[in-house]
Amino acid sequence: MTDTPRKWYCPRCGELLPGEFAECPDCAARAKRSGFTPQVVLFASFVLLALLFVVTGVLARVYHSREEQLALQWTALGNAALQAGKPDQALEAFRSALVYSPGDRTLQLRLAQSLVDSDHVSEARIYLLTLWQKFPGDGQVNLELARISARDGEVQDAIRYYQSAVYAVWSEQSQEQRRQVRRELSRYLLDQGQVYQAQAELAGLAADAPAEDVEQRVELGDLFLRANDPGHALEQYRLVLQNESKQPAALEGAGIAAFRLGDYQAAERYLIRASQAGSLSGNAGAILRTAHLMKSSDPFLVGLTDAERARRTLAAFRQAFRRVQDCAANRGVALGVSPPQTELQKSYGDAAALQERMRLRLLQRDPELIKQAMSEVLRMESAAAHECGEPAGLDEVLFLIGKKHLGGEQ
Amino acid sequence: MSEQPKSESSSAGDHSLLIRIREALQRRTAWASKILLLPEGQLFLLLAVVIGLFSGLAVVCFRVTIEWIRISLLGSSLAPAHSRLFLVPAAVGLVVAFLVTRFFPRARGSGVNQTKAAVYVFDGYVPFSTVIGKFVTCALAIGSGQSLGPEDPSLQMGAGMASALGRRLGFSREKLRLLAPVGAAGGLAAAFNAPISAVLFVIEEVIGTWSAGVLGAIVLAAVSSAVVMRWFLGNEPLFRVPAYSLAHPSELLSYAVLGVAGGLCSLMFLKLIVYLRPKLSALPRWTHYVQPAVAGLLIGIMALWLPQVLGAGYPFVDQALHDQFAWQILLLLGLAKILSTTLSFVSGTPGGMFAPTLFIGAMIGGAVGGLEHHFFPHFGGSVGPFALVGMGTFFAGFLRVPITSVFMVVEASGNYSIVLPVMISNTIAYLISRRYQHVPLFDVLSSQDGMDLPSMEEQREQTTLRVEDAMRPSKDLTLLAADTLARAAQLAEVASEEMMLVSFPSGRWAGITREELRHYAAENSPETPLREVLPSFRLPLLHPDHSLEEALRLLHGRPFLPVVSRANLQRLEGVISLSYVLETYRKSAGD
Repeated sequence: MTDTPRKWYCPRCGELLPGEFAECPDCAARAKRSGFTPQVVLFASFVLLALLFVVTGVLARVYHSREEQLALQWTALGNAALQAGKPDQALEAFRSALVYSPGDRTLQLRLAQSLVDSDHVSEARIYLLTLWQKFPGDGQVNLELARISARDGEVQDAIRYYQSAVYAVWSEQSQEQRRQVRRELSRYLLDQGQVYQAQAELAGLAADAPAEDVEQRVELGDLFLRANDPGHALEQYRLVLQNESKQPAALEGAGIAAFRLGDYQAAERYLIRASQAGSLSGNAGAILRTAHLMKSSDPFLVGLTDAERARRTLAAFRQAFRRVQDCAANRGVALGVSPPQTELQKSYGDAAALQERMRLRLLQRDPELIKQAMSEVLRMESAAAHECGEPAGLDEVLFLIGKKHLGGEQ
Repeated sequence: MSEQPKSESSSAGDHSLLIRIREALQRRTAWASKILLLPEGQLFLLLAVVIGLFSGLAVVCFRVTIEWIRISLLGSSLAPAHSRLFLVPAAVGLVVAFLVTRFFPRARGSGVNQTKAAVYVFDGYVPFSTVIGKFVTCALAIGSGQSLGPEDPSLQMGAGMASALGRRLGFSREKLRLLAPVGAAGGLAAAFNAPISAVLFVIEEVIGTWSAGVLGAIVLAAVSSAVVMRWFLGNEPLFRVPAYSLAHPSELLSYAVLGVAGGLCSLMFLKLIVYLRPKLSALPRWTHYVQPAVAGLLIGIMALWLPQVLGAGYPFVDQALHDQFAWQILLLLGLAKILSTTLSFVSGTPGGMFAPTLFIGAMIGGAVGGLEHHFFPHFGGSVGPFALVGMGTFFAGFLRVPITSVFMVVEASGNYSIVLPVMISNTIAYLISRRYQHVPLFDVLSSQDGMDLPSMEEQREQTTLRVEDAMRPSKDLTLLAADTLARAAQLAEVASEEMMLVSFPSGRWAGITREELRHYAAENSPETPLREVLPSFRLPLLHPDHSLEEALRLLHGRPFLPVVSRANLQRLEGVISLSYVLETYRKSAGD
């Protein structure tokens, strides 16, 4: 600095010293040297060192405990802010908490979560990637990364992180955490239309799920249904019903699964029980109505009299014939042309040829004719469905009956 | 009656116990004496470890104290309450200014130059009061939010403790001069939690040479100090650094741009300090009591919007490394920190420049990275590595320690693949800074303080004159050991010099004067070979790559010396004499 102290002379040795000196180094050193031997000084240094170690240790411990306390305080504030839906406040709180507990993984994850919630997704991703590089086997880090990737539409990355999370290390309740991640992964796969991969994950989940957990089993059944696997879905619902025979969700799910498997009678039974146990969802109600109709319309049901079987066949034939005519009229397609060009025209021509034999008497006598008639019904419904869209009501029922009994032959 | 034998036996027992204690003490004393009678070199190394431990402990206490003061004065939040921001930095600034002006004038400044001054001016003398003053005033200043860091003060405190211990042990001036850098390395290693960088910085900026005599001690002090620091404060590095890998060589271009930006910003920071510091120092003395307070007030006002500028700012460097700021914010923070640190430093507030340098570097680096991503998204990668490289770049440009700056980033990141971008960026920043500011910061500061400390940068760039620059051809000055005295005398009569060189087949060289030859010829047969009459001493040899200093040392009292090839000691490359050396020095000075 400009106001450097003036030079001075040492009163003992008379040496000229710079102003920076508070004492003469030579005289001071000599004084010290004459006062204590090097042995004493070194020994005193070791003692002082030991003393300082103790003092520093105490100081550091007190400071660390204060840090822990502050980290806890800020974490609590952050959690409260997150719960109150104030992610920006939570972000600041977790950042402050991390100053006092920088290595706390839970806190780091909370910070990442609040970054996501406060719409700082790219920051959250980088933050999590840094954590991932440090802890590649951490379940929570992988799960959060999977969620961010899923959110950003990076399907392959999301699946990779989800799968890593399934097999990763979880600090607590690892089995339950893995099951939850697998469920989340299965839902994500179903959302992405990756049905087969979802089925594989669900199979793993089913093998691992606790038998007595009704909620999980019902959810699994629902997921199997979404994954077009009604067989495994029904299995899950039945497991539930073994323990709780009146569980409404399981009954409803079982009804739907049975219906999809073509077991309409069982479907009707389950759905009736479900409606008795609680209200049915709209979809289940429609399925129950269809099942009712099938029961009253199916000519192949066991135990019907020949007359009833013939009546049902005739009614089915007439309904299908009408459907073809209506469809052709709607589409402006001319029926009865020769040679027929479309499947609708062909099925109409064949049905018209068969129509002469569609008499109750003949049908009662000839079971083969019933089969032939129902085969035509299925053909007509299929052709009409192809031309005019999915059938509804009785036409749908006839279509399903035909598929169930004659689908293989068609 | 029965008690007497008991008492006798007990007194005999006491006696034997006393003897045992005395023997044990004697053994201890003998052991201690052995330790303390170690050769000075070994004692120096042992002392280096002790100094490292002391430095480490002091730095742990220092850091804890700073944090404690920060929490107590500003609160535990990263964004302190507005009322505190107005009050605390200014009020504490007054206290610090009072302490520095009245009690600890040597605690002013960062600490690096003061340590250099101790080595080069004050024979390694750093008063212990400076250690205490530095500890107290820096802890108050940094803890209250002044934009300064704890590293350089730690360096000075380490040097001060080493100096105190050396003085107590009655070390020679020469050893005392060496002890200060040892302590400095210990202090810096603990403060940075980076022993390699600390060792390199002390070599690069404080002692300037790779002296084998002190290198071992510096390394030992740095390591022991870092161990103590990690023992008490944990193994966590100063920053959690994102992973980096060079995706494509074209990425290096973006780091070159960072080098340019970092170089210009560091130059701006440097110029600002160099310009403002003497201006504020020249103000009337009473203003020195209020300058830190005014700086504190201004920093507090800045912190109302940008609390990141307070203190060392390490948590925010961590956030920048993890891409948690937009590039606009990063740029703003970098510029704000330049301003706040300038205010703190030029006002005479004690505290270090390392932490703010790293902060500014990280922010500028992150801003450049963000900007490049914004306009050239195909460059890929995240902003984090830019912030990391930016720290090294700014360090190289501002403090002008290129080697330390590279190793610091590598040591902090633990990632060797970052070294290429760091080298490119740091070199560019260093060159820009040198081009427009010829004298490095520490040299300017020392000259502003009225001292002329050696410039390490100049020393690094000095060309060393070598023997090959001064040697001349040997002409007719060589004799062979197998030559007869008659032939030797004949050759000597026509030689241009009084002395001639004698070459032995073993590679040995000797010298013989004309007078000695005459003497030997008179006493021996003329056919006697030279090797039989010459005494066994040998001339010291020089090689063309030896320094002229070495040549000067060996030439003492000799008219000239042989310069021989390293590959063949019998091959004479030339001769060197004192007049040749002086002439070479004269020429070099004239150039």
